[in-house]
Amino acid sequence: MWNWFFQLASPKWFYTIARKVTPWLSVLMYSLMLAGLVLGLIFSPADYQQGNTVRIMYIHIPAAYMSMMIYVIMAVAGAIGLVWRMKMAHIVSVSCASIGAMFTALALLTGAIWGKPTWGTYWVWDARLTSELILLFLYLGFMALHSAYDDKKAADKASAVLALVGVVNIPIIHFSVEWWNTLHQGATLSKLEKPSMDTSMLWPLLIMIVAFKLYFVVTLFHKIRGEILLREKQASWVKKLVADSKQ
Amino acid sequence: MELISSEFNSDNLIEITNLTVIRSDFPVFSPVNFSLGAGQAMQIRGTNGAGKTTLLRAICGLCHSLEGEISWNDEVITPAHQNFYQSLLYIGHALGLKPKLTIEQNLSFFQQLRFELDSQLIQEAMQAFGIAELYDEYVAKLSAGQKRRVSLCRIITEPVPLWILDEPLVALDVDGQQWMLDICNQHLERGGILLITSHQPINGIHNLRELTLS
Amino acid sequence: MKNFNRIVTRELSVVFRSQSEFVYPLAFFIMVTSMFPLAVTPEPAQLAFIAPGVIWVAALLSLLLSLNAFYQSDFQDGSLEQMLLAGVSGSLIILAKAFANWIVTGLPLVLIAPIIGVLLNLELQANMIAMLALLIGTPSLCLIGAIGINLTVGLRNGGVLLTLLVLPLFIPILIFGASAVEAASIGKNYSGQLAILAAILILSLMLAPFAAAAAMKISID
Repeated sequence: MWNWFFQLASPKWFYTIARKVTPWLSVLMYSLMLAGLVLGLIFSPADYQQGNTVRIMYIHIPAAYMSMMIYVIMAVAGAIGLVWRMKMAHIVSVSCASIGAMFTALALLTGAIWGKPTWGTYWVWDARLTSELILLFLYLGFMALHSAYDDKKAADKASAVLALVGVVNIPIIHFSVEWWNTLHQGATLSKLEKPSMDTSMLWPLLIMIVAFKLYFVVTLFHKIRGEILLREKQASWVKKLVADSKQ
Repeated sequence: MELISSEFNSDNLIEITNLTVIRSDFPVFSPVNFSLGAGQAMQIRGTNGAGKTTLLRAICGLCHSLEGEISWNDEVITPAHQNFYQSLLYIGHALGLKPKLTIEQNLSFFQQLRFELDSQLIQEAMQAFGIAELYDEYVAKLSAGQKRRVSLCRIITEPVPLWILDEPLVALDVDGQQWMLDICNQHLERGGILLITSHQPINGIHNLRELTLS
Repeated sequence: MKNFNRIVTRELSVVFRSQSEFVYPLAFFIMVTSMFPLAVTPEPAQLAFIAPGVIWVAALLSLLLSLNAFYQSDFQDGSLEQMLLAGVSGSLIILAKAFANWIVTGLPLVLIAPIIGVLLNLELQANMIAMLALLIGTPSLCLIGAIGINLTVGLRNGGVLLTLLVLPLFIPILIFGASAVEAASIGKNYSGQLAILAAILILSLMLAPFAAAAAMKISID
């Protein structure tokens, strides 16, 4: 029962599996992304209020969705690393950070681009954008803390503690920002809200969400493999791998 | 002069099995094995950077990335091991003294964390280390050697069996070093255990074993 | 509990020996808040409008400034590890230090806030609520700050990093604290905000000492 868990903990095993799986996942990811983009950008209808600008939603919403999810994964992996002292879990946690930060930045950027035609300005202190901005700060803090430590193990543990503190705080921050927003701006700016979405818009959105998830997994595997090679450079299997690839 | 009045349990035993500390993927020193029972002493030797301090801190539970096992009286040590921390005194390079407090405030703070306040014992300890007249002096005003003496007073004010002393003779004058060795011998006679590092060879502690780190 | 008192007493006697620790953050608080009339406007109505935010942001920053002095020396001179080796649990050390931190830095801010409120043209009711909100909110800041400082205390350039780590975590307290004062100044109900501040304090008391103690042990290693 626990066997797979311990296998997962072995960097070598993870490396080989990730290397085998990645091409297949990439193919799946690219075809889904293509399908989602074609459906979303060409075949789905324009919004009756916002016109074609609404199509940026097919990037914005999945990116925003991923930015939150990755932080949770990062924190859970960090917690597993702290509790079971598992090297692989820390590697996963650390590899998540830059991808999560990238998605958060993407969500902010697309949000701003969407905001210009919708609100007439690039930035509005809208509850979601503000939450995303704070999330970006949390990601940057995590990455900065991890790189500030000289010793990798201490860095792993310290940033895992920070991720856990962050994950407890995110709902509170989210709630407080929502509350602050309704207090100051009323509900007038919640144009991003799509309570009833047409199925012709829903499908491409769902496909894009799945494609983004796959993109995350593929990039994560790439990052993890790099991190494993870097950390296990003393291990004989890594030396052999490098020697083989040079030939 | 008799300073150490308490007799320690003759069953006390610290055992180190295959202990090493990993820093940036490399072990700092090759695995260490030894055990010390009541009345036994060991000096850790090694060149600069050999990991003497790291080894002592690992035994105290201050290093986290260690491999191997440390046990005290046949129980493996975990961070919550009250029994072990009741029996241990570690004096390292950082002495733990607050410059803005007096000698007496510093010593009684540490004494009270584990024992009842015993002002007389603190007085006697300071007397023995030749700093009695500095009783009310702030630690900030002391010289390096005097600060070292203050921190070493704790081996008397906190009577515990296991002493782990990192370079205790540094900054002490010749008389101070001699006192220190005498007290270590008394401690061993009472059934104490001593783990010590020093650059200079230590002459005068009975039956001192040596362990060289590589 | 005895050890809690001893650590608090020791912290306080160290601080009262030199006094700079508790004068600096207070001076910082007063000076930063008095910059705003100069930078924005001396017009009374506008000052009263920005006052809640100004008071809270300044309180946040001066608490942040106080953290380093409170933890760094204990870390460097070996006091922290000696306390741990004496069998005192890490979370108790944090709790005691955060409490002393609050007595020395948070409490003076609470007491001086009404004067700042008068300078910023805050009316009496709002001024009292500002004091109350600071009283409930600042202990949480000390506790959350303890996590951040213990993560960075062993690093060479920990200061700026500390700000980056801790400020996002302060945001909920800032929002509800400032909002309570604002609500009071326009005659609205402010009890909800105070209740949430109290809830955050309880949560911080339960969780922050453990996180900070874990961070402390990583830094000591």
